[in-house]
Amino acid sequence: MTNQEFENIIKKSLKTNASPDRGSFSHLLSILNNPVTETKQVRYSIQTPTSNIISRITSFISIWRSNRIILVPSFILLLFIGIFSLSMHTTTYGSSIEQLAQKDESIKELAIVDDDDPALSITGFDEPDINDLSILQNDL
Amino acid sequence: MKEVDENQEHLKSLILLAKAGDDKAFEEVYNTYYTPLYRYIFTRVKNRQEAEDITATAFMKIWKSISSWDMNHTSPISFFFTVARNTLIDYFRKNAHKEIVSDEVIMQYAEENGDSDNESISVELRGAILQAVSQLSEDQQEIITLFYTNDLTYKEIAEITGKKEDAIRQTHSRAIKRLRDLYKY
Repeated sequence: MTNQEFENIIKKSLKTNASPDRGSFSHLLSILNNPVTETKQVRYSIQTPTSNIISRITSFISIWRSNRIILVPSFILLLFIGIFSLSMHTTTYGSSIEQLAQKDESIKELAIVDDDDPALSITGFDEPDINDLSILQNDL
Repeated sequence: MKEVDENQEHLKSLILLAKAGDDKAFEEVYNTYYTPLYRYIFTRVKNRQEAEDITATAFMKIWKSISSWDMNHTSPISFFFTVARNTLIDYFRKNAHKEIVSDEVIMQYAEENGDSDNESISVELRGAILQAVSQLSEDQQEIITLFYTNDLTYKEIAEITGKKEDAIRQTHSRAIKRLRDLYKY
């Protein structure tokens, strides 16, 4: 197929029989003279609250789609920062618990009483020494 | 646009009257340029309702700015198509998600809006070409559309797009080459 033939096919493909169902010129003029009614495009902006919400969501999605090249890496970066800060927080919290556990362990160790420990052997309370004669005499 | 060129002088006088605020003269200009502008816009957006809205908005802009338009500096075709192009750019900016047209929409467009005068081209062939065109870059699509839907010259397209004529010629040639690569029928 020559270039000319190919271009003819393109031309025929792009040519359209679409005839516009246009509004009359007087209608356009009335719109121009009355800015309240404006064009059909402006008509879209006169919306109910629900359609406003929908259009906002749609525009947000379109912004997201058009700027995803910037937004996606930013989002991933933010996610990493979030995870990192959370892990830091967890580590501090974990180390505090560890310290508390160690303290607890040392307290428990102190609380264990060894009966054979000579340092802890009880030598006596207030029992009188039977060899102490002075006491006996007093009793008499 | 050949028929428009033939009546260039008549149109110029009408435009002069419209510039002076003559509604009737502007109506004639409107009737002459509405269909070429609509077809250019419709080929780009592939949606009848939206094409009509954009064309109406373009004519509102033309009406508002016609008094300040310097006819010695810009030709009528360039002026009208430049306004239409800018309106289309605004539309795509506000509706970025609509710029990507699905294959389904293209095929539907091919079926519904084929040139009735031409029986030698099938819907499948038309669909294949339109799909290939939709895969071109924005610049290439624009030039191909302006070149083939309204028979505009390189010079006129250069005026409309604000680019050099050589650049338009080069982009057109690259677009044709790419279309030949993409065309699989």
